[in-house]
Parts: sequence; C-alpha cells; structure tokens
Amino acid sequence: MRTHRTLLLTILLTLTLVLPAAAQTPKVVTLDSPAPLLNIKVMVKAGSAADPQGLEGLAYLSGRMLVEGGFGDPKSPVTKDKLAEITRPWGGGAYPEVDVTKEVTVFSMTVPKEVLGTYVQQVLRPLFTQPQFAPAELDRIRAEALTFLRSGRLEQIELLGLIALDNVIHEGTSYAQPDIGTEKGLDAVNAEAVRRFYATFYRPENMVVGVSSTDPAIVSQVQTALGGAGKLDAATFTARSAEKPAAVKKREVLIVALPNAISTGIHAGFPLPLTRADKDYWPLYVANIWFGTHRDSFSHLYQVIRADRGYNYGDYSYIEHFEGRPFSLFPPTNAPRRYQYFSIWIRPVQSDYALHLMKALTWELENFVRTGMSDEQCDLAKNKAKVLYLSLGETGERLLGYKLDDDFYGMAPGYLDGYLKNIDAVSCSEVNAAIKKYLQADNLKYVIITDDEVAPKLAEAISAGGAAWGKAPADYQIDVKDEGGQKTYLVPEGKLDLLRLDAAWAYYPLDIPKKRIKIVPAEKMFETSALPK
Amino acid sequence: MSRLGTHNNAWTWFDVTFYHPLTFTSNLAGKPDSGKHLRAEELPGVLQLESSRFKALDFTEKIFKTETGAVLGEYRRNASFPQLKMSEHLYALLFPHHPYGHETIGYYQDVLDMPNHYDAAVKFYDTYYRPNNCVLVVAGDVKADDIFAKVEPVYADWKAQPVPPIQATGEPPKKEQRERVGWDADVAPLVWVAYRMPAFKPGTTEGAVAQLLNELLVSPAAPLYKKLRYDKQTASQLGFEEGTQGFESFDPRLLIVGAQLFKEKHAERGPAYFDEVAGDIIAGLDELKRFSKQKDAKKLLETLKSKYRYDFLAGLSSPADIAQNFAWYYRFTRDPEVFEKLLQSVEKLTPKDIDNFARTYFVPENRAVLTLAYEAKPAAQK
Repeated sequence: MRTHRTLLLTILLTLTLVLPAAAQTPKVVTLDSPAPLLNIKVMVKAGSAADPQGLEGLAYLSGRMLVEGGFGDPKSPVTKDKLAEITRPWGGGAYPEVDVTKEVTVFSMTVPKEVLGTYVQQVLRPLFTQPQFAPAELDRIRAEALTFLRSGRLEQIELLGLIALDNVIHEGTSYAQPDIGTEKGLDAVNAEAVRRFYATFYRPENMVVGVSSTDPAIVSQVQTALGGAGKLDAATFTARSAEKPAAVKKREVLIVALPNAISTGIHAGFPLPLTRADKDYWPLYVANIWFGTHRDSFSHLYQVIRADRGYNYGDYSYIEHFEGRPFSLFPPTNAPRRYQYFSIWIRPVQSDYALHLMKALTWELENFVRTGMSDEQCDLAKNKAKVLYLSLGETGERLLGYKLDDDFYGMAPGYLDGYLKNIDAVSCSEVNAAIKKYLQADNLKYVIITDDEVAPKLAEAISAGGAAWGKAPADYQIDVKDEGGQKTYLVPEGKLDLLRLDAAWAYYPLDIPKKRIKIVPAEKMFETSALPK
Repeated sequence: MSRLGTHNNAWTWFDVTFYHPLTFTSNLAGKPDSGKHLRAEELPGVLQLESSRFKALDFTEKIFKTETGAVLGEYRRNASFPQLKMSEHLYALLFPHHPYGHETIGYYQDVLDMPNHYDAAVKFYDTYYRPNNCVLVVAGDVKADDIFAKVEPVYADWKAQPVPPIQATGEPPKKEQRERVGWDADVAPLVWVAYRMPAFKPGTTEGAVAQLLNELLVSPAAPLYKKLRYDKQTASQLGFEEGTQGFESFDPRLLIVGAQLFKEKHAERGPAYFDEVAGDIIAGLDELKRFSKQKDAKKLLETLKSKYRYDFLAGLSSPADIAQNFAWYYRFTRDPEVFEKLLQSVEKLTPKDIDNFARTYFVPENRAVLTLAYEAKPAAQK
C-alpha cells in the first residue's frame, strides 16, 4: 500500500513537471468579475503588419477564415452555419467576433458561465486547434472584403481620410495599408497562404488570452483549450518585422479626389516616438486632452473651429492611433501598436474654406508648441482626463481588453490601473516640456479628401501661398456700416479676438511647393500598399 | 461641466432626444473645486447644471447661428453615404403626412436654411422641453432616496405645460411603393425592402414579436441571411438599416431590411439582380407567416427566447448602458418595471404569434422597395 502511494505520488509529480512543457498553453490575463456572462478574448500577436509583401489582407482573411472556414472533425466540420446554430441560444456574443489591426488579431466572445464547458468543447477548442480553412469560404470572404474596400473608399470618406493619413505617415513600412488589405493583396491570397499564416502565428506562445474570471477552474478550461493551436503541416512564413516610420521632412500634401464630395476633410500628422508605456506619455496625454480631445466640446481645436466659428462637426487631435473612428466616442481596446503617430482631424468643411482651415490647424499646432499651457489649463485638462476614465473602463469587456493591451505594451501596473494616479502625478511643467519635446508643426503630412473638381484648384491655391480667408465678418453676425463706400465694422466686445485670429490663420504661410502636393483619385486608393502613381 | 469633470454628449432620434452626461458619483451634488489653480469656490453639482439646461436654456440668435454651422458639418459628413439619400427617399415615400417623413437632421436645403430659423428653435425648446415630457434616469452606485432628495429641489420650479401630440395630416399610401435611386459615385448597389410597422408598446405581444425580428431575419442563423450571404452570395451585407430602433417608435414606423450587393454582379445582370434580391427578401419575410408550421417551431422559438435573454443581459453592461436602455423603453409606458414586462412578453410568445404578426404587417400594401445604383452623370451636369 505504502509503495503504491509513493509510486502514485512520483507519477503525479512527474506529470506536473512534464505537462506544461509537453503541451504549451498561452499566457492568460484575468479580470475579477462577478458578471454572469464571461468575456473571453484571444489575442494573436500578428496583425496586418505581418502580411507578407504581395499578400496584403492575409491576416484579415486568416482571422475571418478561422471563424467562418469550418473547424473540428474534417468529415463533419462545424461550418459557419452550424457555428451560428450552436451559439444561438447563448446570445449574439457567443459567436466569435474577430478584429484584425496592425499588430494583433483579437477574437472576442461573451459566454454564459453556466455553458462554458460545452462552449469550450464545441467551439473554443476545435476552432483554434482544428481549423479547416475551406477554400470556398475564402472566396466568399474575399469578395465581401473587396466590396468593402472598393465601395468604402467612395462612400466612407471620413474613414478614407483617416486610413489614408495612417498609410502616408507609415509610407514604405508594413503599417502602410488598410488593415483589411489591398485589392491586389486580397486577390493573391489562397487557402495555402491562410494555412501558413495560421501555422506561423496562431501558436500558444504567440497568444495571450483574457478571461473575465479569476476562478482557477474557468481559467484553466479556457487556457488548456488553446494548447494545441497552430499545429498544422504547413510551411511557416518568416515573420515580417514592423519598421519604424521615417521622420517627416517639411510639409507635404496628399489630396484624394472623389467624384461627388460636397465638402472637404482635412487630416495632418507625423510619427511620434513614444507609446503609452513611456513615462512621457502621461504629460503628453494631458496636453492632448486640452488641445484636441476626441468628440468633446472641451478641447481647444473644437472650441476655435466648431464652437466659435461653426465650420464643422468637430476637430480633434491624437497622440495614439484611434481605432473605430469615425463612429466610436471612445477608443476601442485591442488595437495596440509599436509605432504611434500624432494627428489632427478636421471633419468635413465647406470646400471654399479648406485652405483656411489647413492653415488654421497648422497655426494652432505651432502656437500650442510656442505658448504651451497655463497652470489653470493643465488643471482643467487633468480633471477632464480623469472623467474619461469612466468611459474607458466602462464595461467588463473594455477592462479585459485593456489588460490584453497592457500585456502587449509590457505595462505593469496596467494602463487603467495606473491611469488616475498617473494623471494626478503630472505637473504642468512636465506637460509643457512634453509639448516642446514631441510636438511641432514644421514637418507634417496632410491628407485632404475633396471633390475631384476642387482638388486641382486647391492644390494650386496651396502652392500659390497667398492669404486664404474663411468666414467673413457677416458670417459672425457682425454689422457693417457703409458710408459712401467706407465700410465700418461694428465689432462687438469679444469678437475682435476672433477676427484677429482669423487674420493670423489667413496669412499663415504653409510653404508647400507644387512638387510636394499629390492628387490621387479615390478609386485608385488601396490597390496596393504603395500610393498610386 | 468641464471644471467638474463631466462627459457630456447627446443624440437625437425621430421621437426622442437623449442627453447622457457621465460623471463621478461625487459630482452629482455640489462640491468644492479640486484643482489648486482653479478658483476655490463651491461648484454646482451635475444635477443642478443639467436641470438648468432643461429649465432655462439661454441661447442667443448668434450662438444659434454658429451652431447651425456645426449641424451643416454633421450633414456633410454623412452626405457621402448613399444610405442617407435612400432614407430621405424612403421616409418621404412612406410618411408623406407625418413628421417621420424626414430625417432627424432634415434635408440639405433645410439645414442650409437653418440659420434663419432661430424662432423655431426657441419655440421647439419651449414646447417640448417640459417636465411632463421628460424622464430623468440616474444609474450608478447611488441610493434612490438620496437621489430623489437631491433631484426634487433643483427641478421643482420647472413648469409643466401640455405637450401637443404629433398628428399626421393625411393617410399613408395604401399600395406598394417602388423606387430607383441614382448615385453619382461607383459604389456597391443597394436594395432596401421596407414595411410599415405598428406603433411600439413594450409588454404587448406585437412588441414582443418585434424584439425577435432581427434574430428571425438577419442574424447568421436566420434562413434569409444564410440564403443571401452564404448560399446564393447575392449580398455582401444584410441587416436592419436602423436596427430595431426603427420600429420601436411612438407612432407606427418601419422595418428596413437592407442588402449591399456586388458591383460585378450588377454590371453583369442589371435590374434582374435587384429583382432577385428583393424577391428573396420578401419571400424571407413571407416565410414568417408560416413560422408555426415548420418542424420544431416550438423548440426554435425557445432558442430565440434564450438568445434574447442573454442579449438583453449583455446590453446592461455599464451604468450608461443601463440608463440608456431603461430610458429608451420606459418612455413608452412610463412603467418602472418595463424591463420585466418586456422580458415576460417575449417569454410568453407562441409560434402562432409570429405567424399572426407577419400576416398582419408583411403585406404588399405596407411595403416599399428601393434600389440604388451608380449612374454616371454627364460631365456638364456636375
């Protein structure tokens, strides 16, 4: 009896020691949540930047194919139809949603805790370990993706501008394409490439799993389900390393011309050598809250362009890429990046005012760097930053999403965990130092989205370099007295500064020669990752 | 609001305007200023500031005119979507005598002319921003008694006034409407099949069927969805254009099933392609008239109910979500147990209820079919 027990103990110990090495499981991050619905997120550390050259769109198609290309027993696979049937009683969130961004692919699922065992067995495990990648599904998904790309560039003009700016700032690197891929790239992907992508990247050691529970039984169920991921007899790709974007030198403009635009959107930006993991992130974050908080009347750009002058719907700036625009009010999680950029977004304005507002954004940025922020502005911005915390961490799904991003950035304590403390700790002198260190207006890439009849005239006007006025005093309801041709503006208290600033914007020299302005038709965008000739 | 640190935003829809400030619970009532460089006076709380927005908004004509520029900007940012033109056509077609006949933001010409209508804005505010026409929802880590005690004094002097009901000035059309819409960029063609729906009332059988329509028609497990997206691959997208919100309305409004098509197939087949997709959508809705006749109808309905319960739960994932969902449904019946009533009504549904709903509303005279395709304009016209 005694001997047996010793033997058993020995076997158990051996098992404990050997198991993790034999079947590698992905790293897990957890969120302590009492909610009856469990959030599961699987982050694969490969996104569109890992697309091999010429196969732009492979990461996107691979993500979709994992879910929709069938999985499990090859003789009777769980097709996309069956998957919908299986997950139906558990709510829409049980059907895995996949998001592919530059550096990661993230699968999100919401599952009632009481069915987790069944879910793991029928969905989670076979989906990640026995994908079938049916070629017919690839053709269907590709056709849908191409429709999105070809139609989207002509109708989603705000998104077009946002993607175009991201692409030109990262020109020549693996970031310089839409996350969904390019027309040529999508066309070139075949099922074998998808299998290779899976075998290369969908491996436990290249994944992080988020679970909104700290219950060890739940966590281990999810974790072990993914142990066999990536095992497939397919050649691997040599992982493409994301390159740092080149510094922008002077100013240059890309004008994207549409056949039917009734307005003009303006974007500008440059690479930023910092991420949220850097110490300087927080002072720069506070600065940006004051200068251009997304979708918020608090910010300076919004005040001077929308609130004071009524040019458009909103005007914002960013120190990180903000996924989910134009519609998201707050930045979605799970789009982390090694390389970030600073950007300004002026939403569509009447085309006659486009040049005036190009000048305005540049003057405002330059002035912001020159003058910095007062102590009171810093305090206001810190207050504002703190209340944003409520929205950033609004749901369990978001909290879990941030934990995955923390892992990507190597942040401990995590972004939200340290958020309020980090903002409190920022001093105004640090804010001003960060503005001076990281921001500037001399070297900018602009993207202008406008009508094809406006485009050449605008290019001409930009390079001509004269004054460009926006709204006239009458637009501000300023009365004019005309006595024998002598006009006197009856400027009320408070409006004089407005007119002075208008003049400063109007006369601001952009200094952009013709050779640094390029016009491309929208229907040529995203054919490849290079800009159309 | 900024100094308190409050997120402030709002949205408008056909029969509701929703303001949704979000702040720390400690900011609800007044508190001393926190920043050391700000004036150290007592700030009013968010409740007090919010109440003044509704009781005594003070906007000058000049401020109004400037803000109309922002609204014009909002129209412009949406104008590139062919869906905007489609909905402008559709609403006018189905509701020629009701204010549902125009988009919330209005037509382009009206938006351009808006700076000249300051008086209308003042009148609108005075008419509709009344306590008897408003619901205040507070969701978060709060105690009800405490909230009532804080709300009462700040809103007590807001004067009630009868709110005129919105009245249709004529009858809606009584036959099927079909219209083709042209678009001047080479985008993916669209097919919309719309049906006039009953007014929404949570807790009723009809209201409960309406809650399941999305799952019955355009979810990945729905036969219609599978047919168009998977089997025939005639649509690259299929969904309800306005979500379920389109028919969760005070007055009878509409359901729009929208499909995005493939340009290549349209180039090949022309109008026959539109007819096929529209026909398939109509057939898919007609199928619901025989829902109870299918094998396992009861079991299927139980599955749909289960999905609805979990989706409902998933929609209550933050204080803001809870407040928004509650306000959205509460406004119809002013019943604090509206969530329970809604869930119970879905629970009680029988397969025959689906048949009856479909037979009553998915009839040709309630229907409109709109298509959109690229029409190149001669250069001179541009």
